Amino acid sequence: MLAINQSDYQLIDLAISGDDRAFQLLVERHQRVVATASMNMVGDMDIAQEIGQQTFIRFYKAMRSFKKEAKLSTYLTRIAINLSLNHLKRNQSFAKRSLDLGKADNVQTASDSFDNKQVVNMALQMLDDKHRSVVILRMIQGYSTNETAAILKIPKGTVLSRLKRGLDKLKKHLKEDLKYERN
Amino acid sequence: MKEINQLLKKQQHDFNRDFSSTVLQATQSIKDHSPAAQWFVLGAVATIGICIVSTYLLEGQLNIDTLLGTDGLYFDTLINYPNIL
Repeated sequence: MLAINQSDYQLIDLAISGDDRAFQLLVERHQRVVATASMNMVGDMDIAQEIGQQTFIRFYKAMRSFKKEAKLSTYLTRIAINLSLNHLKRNQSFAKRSLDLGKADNVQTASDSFDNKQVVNMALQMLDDKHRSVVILRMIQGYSTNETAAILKIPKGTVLSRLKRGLDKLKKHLKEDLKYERN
Repeated sequence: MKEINQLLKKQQHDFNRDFSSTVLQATQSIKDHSPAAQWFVLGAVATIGICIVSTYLLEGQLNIDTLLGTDGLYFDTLINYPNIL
């Protein structure tokens, strides 16, 4: 019997035994983590949704070998970030990247201040991929420095330096953009 | 900086409502539809069984020669075979 309060590991066991509803429940439970990581990384909800699908399909394929000491949300975030970075590498030029943030029909905002959200998203896209990924994991998704280092497979010191650099750049962009928004 | 931190915390996103159904649909196409290993074993056992039963019914006896179909093979035939050619 499937229940909402079942742990991720219990749902994984049920999904492995062929219970599709258990897998769907896992997707529903963790879609926000994946959406937040991929959307903030690529800045386009259509691309983020594709990355999200790929993330869960990869998890589905690797479900049997998933080590249960790992946290599922961290595991999914790692896949989503890596897939996003791969996508960005393939589409290196900033000009090529779709920054059509007006696709509000595809974006269900979790915040009431959609305008600020757009501005912050735009400012995030101005950062280098390596700085953006650290800012997203540390400041938006709330991972610790250790967890961020583990997800990105970089030393702790690098996380701290990239975070400082990223936040400084973000502050600079936002200072101008938000001032402009308010006027 | 505090304001930026607050703004960043609000950068949470959600996929469309039917996202989980779309993912589930995608997983259906990659599902392994091959039968379980026990069916291959069962198939092999059944084949050997049918072979034994049909050999017994056709030959009236069951031994290694009848099973291999070499009961009608004579040594003389083998010796003379090259001369026929």
